[in-house]
Amino acid sequence: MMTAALIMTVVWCLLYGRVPSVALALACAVLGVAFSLLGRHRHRPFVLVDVLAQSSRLNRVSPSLKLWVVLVLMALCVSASNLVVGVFLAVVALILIVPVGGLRLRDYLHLLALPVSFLMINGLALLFELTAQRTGVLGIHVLGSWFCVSAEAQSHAALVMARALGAVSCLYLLSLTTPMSEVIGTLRRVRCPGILIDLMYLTYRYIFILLLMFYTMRDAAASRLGFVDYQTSIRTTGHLYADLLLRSYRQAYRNFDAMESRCYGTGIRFLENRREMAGGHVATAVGITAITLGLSLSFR
Amino acid sequence: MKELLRLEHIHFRYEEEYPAIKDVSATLYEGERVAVLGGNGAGKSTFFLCCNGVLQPQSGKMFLKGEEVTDSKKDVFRLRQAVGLVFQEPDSQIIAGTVENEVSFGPMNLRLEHSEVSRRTMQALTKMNLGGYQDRAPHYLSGGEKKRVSIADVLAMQPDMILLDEPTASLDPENVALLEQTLNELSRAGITLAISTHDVDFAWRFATRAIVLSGGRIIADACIDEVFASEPVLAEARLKKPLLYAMAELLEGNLSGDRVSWSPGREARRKPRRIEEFLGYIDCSSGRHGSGDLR
Repeated sequence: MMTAALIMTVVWCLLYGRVPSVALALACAVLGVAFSLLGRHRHRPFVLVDVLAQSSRLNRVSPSLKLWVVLVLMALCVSASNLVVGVFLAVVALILIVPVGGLRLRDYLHLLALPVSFLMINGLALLFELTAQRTGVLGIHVLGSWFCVSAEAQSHAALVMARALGAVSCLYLLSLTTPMSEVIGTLRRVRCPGILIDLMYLTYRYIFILLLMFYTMRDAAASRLGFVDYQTSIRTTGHLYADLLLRSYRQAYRNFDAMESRCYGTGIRFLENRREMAGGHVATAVGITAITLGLSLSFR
Repeated sequence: MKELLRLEHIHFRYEEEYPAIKDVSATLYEGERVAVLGGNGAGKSTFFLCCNGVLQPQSGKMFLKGEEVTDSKKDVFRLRQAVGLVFQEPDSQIIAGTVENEVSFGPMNLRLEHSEVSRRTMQALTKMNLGGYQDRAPHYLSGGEKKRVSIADVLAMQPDMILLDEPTASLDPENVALLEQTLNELSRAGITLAISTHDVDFAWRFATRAIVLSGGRIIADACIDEVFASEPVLAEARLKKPLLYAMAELLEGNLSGDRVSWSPGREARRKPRRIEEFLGYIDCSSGRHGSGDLR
């Protein structure tokens, strides 16, 4: 609901004076209702991302291809001097993730809700300016001062937000279609330092172990009225995190023992089955990159 | 039977703690099925960690196939290659993002060819009924499936001996039955198996020999029948008799009391390990099949 309200406010401020008021109000209402119905934030987002990546139809596409294309697209998006590139990439990611990858629109919007909320808050900061007198296309009088939105601020905020939305969409394109273990495997193949790769593997695994531990402990605390009031909640949360830290140490020792028992020596190595790059996939990737580059160059 | 692993006067103490195992000597032979029994804190897990070389004993000697295992890298590698260890908590063992990667971790550390690693991985997965799980993430598997993955981890290294620390802990009866079936198959394939447990019923069905630990010391090392027949050993190790064993004893006690004459040597009769055997035992005991002789 918060995200929906933010989206409505930011879109209104961004387009005020550029689009007829009735149409703008209608667009804001549609966006707000869509996000409040579909984009409610869910807990355990990281776990959800990983589950969705496992089941995506684009999981079969070579992870190396996806990683490199996403990196190039992100670079183009961030360096673009027009908002068309960002919007185009957001739409491409939506198409690839939802109808092509097989993810439900509702799930995608759930995931998008969190970064979009941050984006909107930043957008508000970029849009509004505190002045003594009313200037620009929109002004709100608060306690003797004016919060104004100028046309330049609208353009600037729109560009920054489009870049951010495009880049976030690209990241989601990668993370919602490629399990993290495959991303790490790809980084290993491009000679990323071994210590970083080992840390990535272990951190990735630990996120799940610690999350499971945390949820168990939290539920156990809740079952004994550990969150009955604000004060108790604070105290319980403190105990919970302290215990989690200790347990994570213990778990690390146990994991290391288990690795040693299987002849672990100089770095974590797994069997990696490389997924071949299919001609169609490469052609699609090249096509998307070429269009993005074209848009970036033609709307300077 | 050929000797596989021999421990002589092994002593291990965790930092600033009382000794976890004291003066432990035992020999494990090829193809054996051993149960390491004892209550909580008896030293079972430490014993296994020493057998695999994860913990280096402060004193004592170890021999693998007659050759002494020193603390050199080469010897420790040889020991870990020959003696696989399945940890109690699969989450302590599993480190990879997919089941296939996880199972390939051990063989990759053995510096085998990729084709051989792939072959062993597939073989281990098939043996553990995990065909089709290759691309699954271990963290989304059930407890029983994770346990099977952790056993496949070790199987893929093709060790001569597998140590299983509390293999039945937190498994449901169906998974316990599956595990038992797998262990029987591994045993038939000639792999030496040792389980540490306080699940005496499982140990009774599975093992032929029992090593009983209490306070870090071995207080009994004998045929499992003898161990469960010894009240002082069970009392010291804080163990109970297996249910079928106790019921058979009860039955024998009742029979000896009144109705059936007790023939010499009857105590040596093998107690039932499974419920089917127990039913046969009742039939035999009550003389339904004629003789009334318990043998």
